[in-house]
Amino acid sequence: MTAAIQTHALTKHFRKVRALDQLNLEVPESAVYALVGPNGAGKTTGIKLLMNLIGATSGTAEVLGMDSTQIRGKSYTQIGYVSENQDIPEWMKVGFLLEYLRDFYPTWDRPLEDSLVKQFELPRDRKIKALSRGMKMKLALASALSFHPKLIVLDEPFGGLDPLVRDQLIEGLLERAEESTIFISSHDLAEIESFASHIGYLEEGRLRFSEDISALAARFREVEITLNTGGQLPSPLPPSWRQPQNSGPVVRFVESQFDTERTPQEIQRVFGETKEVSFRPMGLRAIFLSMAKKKEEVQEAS
Amino acid sequence: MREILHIFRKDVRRHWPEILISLLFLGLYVWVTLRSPWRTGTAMLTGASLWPLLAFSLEWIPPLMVLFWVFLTVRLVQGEPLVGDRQWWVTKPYEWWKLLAAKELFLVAVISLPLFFVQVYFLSHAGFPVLPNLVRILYMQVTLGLILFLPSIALGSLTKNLWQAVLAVVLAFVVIVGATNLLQRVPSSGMSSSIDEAQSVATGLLMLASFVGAVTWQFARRKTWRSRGVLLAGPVLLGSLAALIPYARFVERKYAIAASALPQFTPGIVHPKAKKRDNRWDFLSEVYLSIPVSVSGIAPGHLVRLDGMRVFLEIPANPTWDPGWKPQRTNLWAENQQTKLTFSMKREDFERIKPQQLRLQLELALTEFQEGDVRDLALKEGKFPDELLGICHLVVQNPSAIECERPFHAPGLMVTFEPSLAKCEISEDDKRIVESRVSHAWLPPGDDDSVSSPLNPVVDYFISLYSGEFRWSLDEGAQPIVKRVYLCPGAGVRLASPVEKNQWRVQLKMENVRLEDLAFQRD
Repeated sequence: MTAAIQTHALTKHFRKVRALDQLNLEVPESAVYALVGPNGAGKTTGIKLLMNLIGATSGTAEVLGMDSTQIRGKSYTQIGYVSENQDIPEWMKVGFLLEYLRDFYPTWDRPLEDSLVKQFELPRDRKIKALSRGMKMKLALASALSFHPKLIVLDEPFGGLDPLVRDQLIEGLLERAEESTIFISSHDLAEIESFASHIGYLEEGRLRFSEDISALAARFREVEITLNTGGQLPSPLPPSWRQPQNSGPVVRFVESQFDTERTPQEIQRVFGETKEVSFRPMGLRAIFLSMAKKKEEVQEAS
Repeated sequence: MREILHIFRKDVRRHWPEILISLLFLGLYVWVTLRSPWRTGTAMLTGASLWPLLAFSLEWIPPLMVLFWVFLTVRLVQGEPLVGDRQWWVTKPYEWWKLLAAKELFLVAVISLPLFFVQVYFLSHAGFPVLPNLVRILYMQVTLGLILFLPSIALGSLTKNLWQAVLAVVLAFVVIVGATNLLQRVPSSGMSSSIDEAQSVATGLLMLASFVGAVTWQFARRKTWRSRGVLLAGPVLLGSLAALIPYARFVERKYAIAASALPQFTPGIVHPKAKKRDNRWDFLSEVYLSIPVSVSGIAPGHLVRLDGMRVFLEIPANPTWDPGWKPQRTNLWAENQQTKLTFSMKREDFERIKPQQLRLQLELALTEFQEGDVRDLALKEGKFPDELLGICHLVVQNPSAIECERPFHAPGLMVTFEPSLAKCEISEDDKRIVESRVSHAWLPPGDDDSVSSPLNPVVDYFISLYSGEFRWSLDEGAQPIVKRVYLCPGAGVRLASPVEKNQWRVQLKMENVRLEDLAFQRD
């Protein structure tokens, strides 16, 4: 599988602030890649670098096989970019904006435009200035989807939107997922969990991990062990066991490298005979919380 | 081309109110220009006498129109802002050169084309043929594009919004005023006209390159700070060079020193009379001093123009006072026997050395012109055409002047009027003293391809005849000596084109001078 986006040690400094640090990222073609992380993690900076809106301090990036610094003009006939930070031309009417954009894209699909306008309930004769924030995002998305882009880049598209609008946007997006690679940034895990195929976690400008979301879900498990007798936790524990706790004979931890054969063997090696062992799959939110806690533990220890 | 037109149509749709205002300004400009009392010599502006405020405010139409064009250009370019990383259009498939071309097309269609028709109308209305002058009108349009629209596009493309653009203009104004002030302190910088024309062309090209480079770079790459750097590089380089140019050396190279006084012109300093102290002008930080100079030997049909003057004051027990070359604009004709050369010095210097006996040395840079293509012109009642002058008429309010209209620029002229040969009668009500001596008018020769104004192809100029007598005096109680030349229909004037003959430098010396005798003071 070839990569729609690939970065190599991509770094961006704003004076002394390191907004993005040695980002090595690979987004496979046809993936729905979610770049998540807290506010200020460097997600928007990363996207602006990919879209050649700002220049990198060092490192390189390729988008659809092009050097990202060469992305301009006609390159955007293949990329649909939507950001909450964009200054959409507010003097235009909805219909005029779409009509105006049509001529720039050889692949513009008028029936698709009409269907998106209908789906998003966009009023063609209303000035963009008079639209709500949610409506503006829907318009931006409609204009970004109507030309069948190979790559759809969305920077925090759902921020502050009500659930109904958010669902409409996601629905519109997923209908295009088959023909496009979707790269989306968000700080809200819940909203991307339902449709992302890949996920990358960015924190303080560094990519903590990047992988297929099903693989991520498969390797994280909440483990609960009931021992024959209570007592202190043995030390050291395997490094992949996070937040170990014990309460009498019950031990709980998060296994970050779960394997159906290896994990039970390790439990047996550490605890010997046990009464009961259970492995519960985790949601994305729980996985990220566990990772955040792990980080706090490391920081406290240091 | 399709995309260029597509962006153009969008801009027309967006800026239609501004387009209407621009056309309104242009209409007002035509109206004001054609009815201006200053232009026609008669108060044709309807109601001008009743509404002087209206007449005054109409004077502001052309500068306001130009200012509005700058505003419109900045707004137009900022319709697709190039500064920052939040722009909508940047992630749309615009090609930078098509965007730039669309903006230029808008300026051509909305401003240049209507202005072109107005310019053609002005020419035609003034009675000049249009077709032979079309190329020059296009040249005017290009000039306007370079001096107005290119900087305005640069302003729009390098600023984020209108407020930032206004701030940039204010900042540029402050920097230019400051730099000009500093450059004026460079010795002899007032004589920059003595620098070769090739260097002036190079200066213009450098400025042009910095503007074109900045605009192109910004449109193509959106590297705002680098583009701003490119824009500033030209003026900063020129400013630095201007401060380093050895102007005095250029003057001395252009005006070779005369081995001895030339037969055509013999100047000499006249020792000034001792004068009483006059403290009326003590509030000024500069003291103005004038040196009476006698003149003789200028051949008839010749003009000696004093281009610059350098004053050296040798003060006992002090270094020589030498402020460098200062420009002068004094014309000396065959009839002139004396003139006054003026210079200024700081009051503190003046007060320190004024009673001392000094040695004064003058160096004068002079250009001699000779009449060429001499012919007589008989003045006529009303408007009369002349091949060289254009279309002229005598000015009712000012009998010493002939007002003419001509395409693009005034001609270089040497004009001579001998009242004794004319039979001009003055009405009994006229209290003016009639000048009976030979009078002259001078219009310096210029570049034949130049245009005086990038807006109006018809240049309105005056040929004002005077005898070379000083017209005013700062001396208290002194009556201004104003003898009016009186022209009338039927009178003849001698017209000639100035031909530059010689450029040279002379040195004059005078011993035992007291500065207080040179100051503008009462006799």
